[in-house]
Amino acid sequence: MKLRDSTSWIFKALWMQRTRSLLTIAGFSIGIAAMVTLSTLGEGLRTFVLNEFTQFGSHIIALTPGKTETFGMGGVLNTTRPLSLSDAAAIGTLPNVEAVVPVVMGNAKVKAGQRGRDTEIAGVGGAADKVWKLELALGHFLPVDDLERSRALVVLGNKLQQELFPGLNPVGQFVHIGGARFRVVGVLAEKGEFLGINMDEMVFIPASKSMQLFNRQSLMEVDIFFNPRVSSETMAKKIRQFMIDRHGFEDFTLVTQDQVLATMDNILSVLTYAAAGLGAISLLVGGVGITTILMITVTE
Amino acid sequence: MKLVDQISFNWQIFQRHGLRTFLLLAAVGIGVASVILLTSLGEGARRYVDREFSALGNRVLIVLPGRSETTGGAPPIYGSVPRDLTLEDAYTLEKIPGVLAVAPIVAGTTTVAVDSRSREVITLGSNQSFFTVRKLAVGAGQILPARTREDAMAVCVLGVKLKRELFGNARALGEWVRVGDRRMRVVGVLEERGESLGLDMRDILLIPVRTAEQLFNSPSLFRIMLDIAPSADSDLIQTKIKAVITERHEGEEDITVISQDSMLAAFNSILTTLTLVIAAIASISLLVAGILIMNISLISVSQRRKEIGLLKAIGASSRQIRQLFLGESLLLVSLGSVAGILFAYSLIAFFSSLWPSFPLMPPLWAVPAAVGVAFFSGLTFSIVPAKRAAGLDPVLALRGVQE
Repeated sequence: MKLRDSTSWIFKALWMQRTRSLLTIAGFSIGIAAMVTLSTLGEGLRTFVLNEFTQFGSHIIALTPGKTETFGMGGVLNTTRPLSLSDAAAIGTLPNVEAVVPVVMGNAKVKAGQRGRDTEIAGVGGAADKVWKLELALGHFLPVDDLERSRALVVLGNKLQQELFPGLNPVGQFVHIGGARFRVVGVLAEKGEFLGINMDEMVFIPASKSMQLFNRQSLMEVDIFFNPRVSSETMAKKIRQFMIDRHGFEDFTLVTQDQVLATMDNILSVLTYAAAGLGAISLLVGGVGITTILMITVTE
Repeated sequence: MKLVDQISFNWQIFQRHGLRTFLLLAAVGIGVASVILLTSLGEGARRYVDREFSALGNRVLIVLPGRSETTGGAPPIYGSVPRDLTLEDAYTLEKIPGVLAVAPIVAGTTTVAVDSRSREVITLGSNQSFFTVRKLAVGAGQILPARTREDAMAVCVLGVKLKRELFGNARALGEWVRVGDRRMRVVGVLEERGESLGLDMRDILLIPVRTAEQLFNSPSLFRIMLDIAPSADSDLIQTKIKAVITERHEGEEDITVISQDSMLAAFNSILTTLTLVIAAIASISLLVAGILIMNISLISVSQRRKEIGLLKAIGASSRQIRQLFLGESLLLVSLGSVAGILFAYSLIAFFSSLWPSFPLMPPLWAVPAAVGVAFFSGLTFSIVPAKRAAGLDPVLALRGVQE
């Protein structure tokens, strides 16, 4: 029997039992629709999260103090193996390193006149706007000062500007953060949330000022941005060797953006498969349906 | 027609088409079983979190330095603020009525070394109350001595894994370890216990709070954990804590208080929503099973035209015919549901014996919901075939004429 013959025979058979075929198809298509929709949702989530992570480019290496495998908490806790601003400055002089952003986060009250607001303070370097692609609504970002001798300047998040200086231009005004006085040089454009952190509620000050303010001996993290033509393994190796030479032994952790992405990708892929698996149950039931109908047809 | 008659009538049909019936039962069974199994995964996760929290066994409040005015956002996790939350702040809180124990916590990472072996671990500086609040016990030796409340004693308690890494099977009690740049004597080893609230208690080092202040050169507390009396009003105590700290901090309210209850409630609502969504998705398979039942019923109606015609000819009303067909679906769905429930529970029992630590169990509503959806879908999809059967003309049907 030729293929064409068998095809036409199958179509005739299906047409003879229109209702039956239609219902079988309906059952199966619900199953397929469920599976496709669910895996699309999973895949969509995966793409969304990966995009969030790669919006700053993938040529980033994060350096945190302490050699633990504790994911993420390393820099936040106290440490007896501090990373200093001079470490960050020294890494900045390495070949192929394009920018270095030291990070010290904290929480404090920002006051302007009678108004005040408790919010997140990010101590960063002057290169943070280029590196994190921050856009300014007013003024300019923190200047690229000597990391260890920065001026007391501040850039406000959009929400902060609305709360502290409603309807006014804050550039050139002074705000108090935890007793110290900072001059406002810029206001960020509205940005929204990034990985659960509301960027509009952020206040950016120089890292050295942040370390004074919070009385910390160590940076929480140093973000290193390097030339895209160099692979992240080569760069990580160079930085590791450089830091071991400075500190005497490996008392820090390097995480490349590639590693973070790979981990995230793994987790989210599992999630997508799980969602598809849920949808597949309906498909299984639909399969049972087809078997039943076939059995009946054969008997007939 | 009596119920018994109907069931025996339907039963005959099932016997005649054994395989078909079996497959239909399988379809309904798979649907019901998947709803129960999947929801029990979600419910299991919820119970697991619940148990983790109640392993603390008491009512705990957590005080964090720093405050964020954004509502609904994450609490300030960094623990770095211009005005430190200090040990003196913590001990003042002991005076609030209803507060049973106060455990100040200084947290950091440091290197612990014995001879040539060293390990970088999370180090918590606290006092005796920490063991009360976190319901921790030592497997060997003793907990931090009472004097560690104020004195920077050079003693420490090791987690089990840390002890194994540093000492192997040798005796650790009474030995010296190097912690950062100082020496401390091991007075105890924690008893074997898994992760608790995201912190691996096997791989930590506990030292006196004053020693930690010196070690990390910072008077700043990372957290304060309070154990409050079972009868105390948690909200009132939270307000009092804020008032006491505000007064000590020159009128600035710069702390966040989290209660264990509110954390638990947040987890609960997230996991319950998740379970509901999973249940809804799994129910789609029951919908597919319903369509299958409709399909089979339609086939069955056309196959049994003569039979139906005969029934009608000897005086069966349209209503009775309809009842017969609906009854057939109902019987199928009930048997399928029972099979599904049995299958699901045997799988749950099997997995529970594999991982006894995970409380796999379907939520109370799962079984009724699964069976309910199965019945709804089965009935809805049987109406059309039953109507068609009931509407047959007895004479034409008896002759076997197709419309």
